[in-house]
Amino acid sequence: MKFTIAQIGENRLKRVLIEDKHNSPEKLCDVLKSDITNVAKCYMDEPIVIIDASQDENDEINFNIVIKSNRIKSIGVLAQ
Amino acid sequence: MARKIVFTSGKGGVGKTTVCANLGATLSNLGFRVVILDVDIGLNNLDVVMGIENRVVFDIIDVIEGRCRASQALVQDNNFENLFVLPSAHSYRGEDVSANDIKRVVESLENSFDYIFIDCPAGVEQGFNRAVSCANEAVIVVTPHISSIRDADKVLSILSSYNLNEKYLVVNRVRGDMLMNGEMIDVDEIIKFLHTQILGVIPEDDDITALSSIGALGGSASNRAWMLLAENLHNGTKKVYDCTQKYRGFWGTLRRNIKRRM
Repeated sequence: MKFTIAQIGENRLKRVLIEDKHNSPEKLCDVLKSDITNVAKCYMDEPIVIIDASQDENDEINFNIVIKSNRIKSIGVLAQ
Repeated sequence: MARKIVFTSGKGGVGKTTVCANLGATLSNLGFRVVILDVDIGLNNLDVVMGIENRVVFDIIDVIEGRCRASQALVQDNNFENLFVLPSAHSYRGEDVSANDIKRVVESLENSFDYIFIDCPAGVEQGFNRAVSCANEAVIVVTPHISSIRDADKVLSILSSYNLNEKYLVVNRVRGDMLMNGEMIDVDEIIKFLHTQILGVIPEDDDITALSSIGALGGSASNRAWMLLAENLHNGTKKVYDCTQKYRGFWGTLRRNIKRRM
């Protein structure tokens, strides 16, 4: 069966878009890391955010988020 | 209250500025007051596309930094009396401008116009965020090329994190002869891949390229397509221009063959 140029293009496009979606969990982790770091900075100094994403047998994605910091900022304390 | 619509694509060179300017011109011709904001700070082009570059006195940075009011910086189009442009600056660091700065400019104009079009820069970085943050609808301009559709797909997923009421697709630079010959990705396939409602299809038109050189808008082959696009945007109709119409039948086949040999 001979494909037209348009059909070949459509098949390539479909493959590219599917591959992009497959790669998205990693990109999602980067975005989450950046957002969570910004929030964590409000409460602690120099937070280190580690995110690990995994998919279980029910196809649910689990995000394990670990935030490390040496010092928590004083919250809810009025300056003397 | 104006409808605030951002024109974006992700990929550069697909015709965002051209679509923005021509749709603005068509709507203004129908009697609506339209203002186009060029928020591509440092890489402004809208003024050149619309042929108003010699009449720019103030730009969007002057408005943001309080040297003038937004209404003072507007430049009226040469041919369409209801069409205005707020030009961007050509030598300014975009990082110093925030989304809130642009939002304030948009808010100052929204009671004076029916449509505020925001011409978004290419890419999905800070300039994109600035442009999208102040809109409540988005038009994604795409060409029938894999690279453009792929970038549009990414842009659509990013846009879902913004508070937009509607997202529309405009397929630009479609060649009817290539569609008929099976050499170009079909518009229906693009809609299917991107899961977004179509606002219009614009044919490839040599007049647009030629007229842009002299700073004029429009194009004989695409006039009907711009009109349908404007009607769809304003009335919510779903009439899409058929680029293949003139390439059907005996004369259409002849026309296609001649074009192919040229």
